[in-house]
Amino acid sequence: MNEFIQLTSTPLDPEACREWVAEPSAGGQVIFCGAVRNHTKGEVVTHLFYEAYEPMALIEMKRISEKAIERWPLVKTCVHHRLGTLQIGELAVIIAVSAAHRQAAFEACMFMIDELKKDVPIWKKEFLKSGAQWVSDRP
Amino acid sequence: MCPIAFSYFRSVIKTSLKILCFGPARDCTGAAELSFEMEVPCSVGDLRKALRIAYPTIGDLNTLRIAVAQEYSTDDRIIQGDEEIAIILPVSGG
Repeated sequence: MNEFIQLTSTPLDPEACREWVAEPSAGGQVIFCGAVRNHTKGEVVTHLFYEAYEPMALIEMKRISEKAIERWPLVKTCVHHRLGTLQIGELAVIIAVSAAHRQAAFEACMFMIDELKKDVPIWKKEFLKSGAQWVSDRP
Repeated sequence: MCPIAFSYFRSVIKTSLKILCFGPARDCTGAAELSFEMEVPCSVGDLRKALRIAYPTIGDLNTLRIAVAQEYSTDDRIIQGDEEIAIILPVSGG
């Protein structure tokens, strides 16, 4: 078991993710933390709400991790996503990867967050001063 | 077998598909679990078109994805009626 995939309604812990991917053979550890931003397209954001199709989201998160392991010589991967109501500055997502050397770790981490944003069935609702709306990646 | 005999033996049943809706899809359809009348077996492509007609504000066919058995499905996938089906509108995790 070299993957740690989780959906949770409790705060995410970057240090726990880093410790999970740490191994004596892994000289490179890369962690991406996605935090709730206080603005979007010039509007003030007060907070966010995240909802998932949970069983499928876990399958997709695992699939992305497995694709990265196939493509890069990784030691361990960790994908955690928070659900429910999140305040500004709280972490919504953490991707952590470890590899013998830094290049594979950087590239795999970038790949995994990009894929997560495309395919994992999780939706965020933005609460703005002017009202609330589901965010869609539609142009 | 001639085409007439084939269509005679092919059984098509009208049924209520149970379709899961999350986030923006739930707001659009007004239900977390939709009962949607379809003739089965049907294809995912048929279902996408029927949903588009029933819910014009659901977005265009480029952005309306269907998951069958918790997996993204292409239009040629056949639905029998007892699978777990979900509408996946553009996701916004992360």
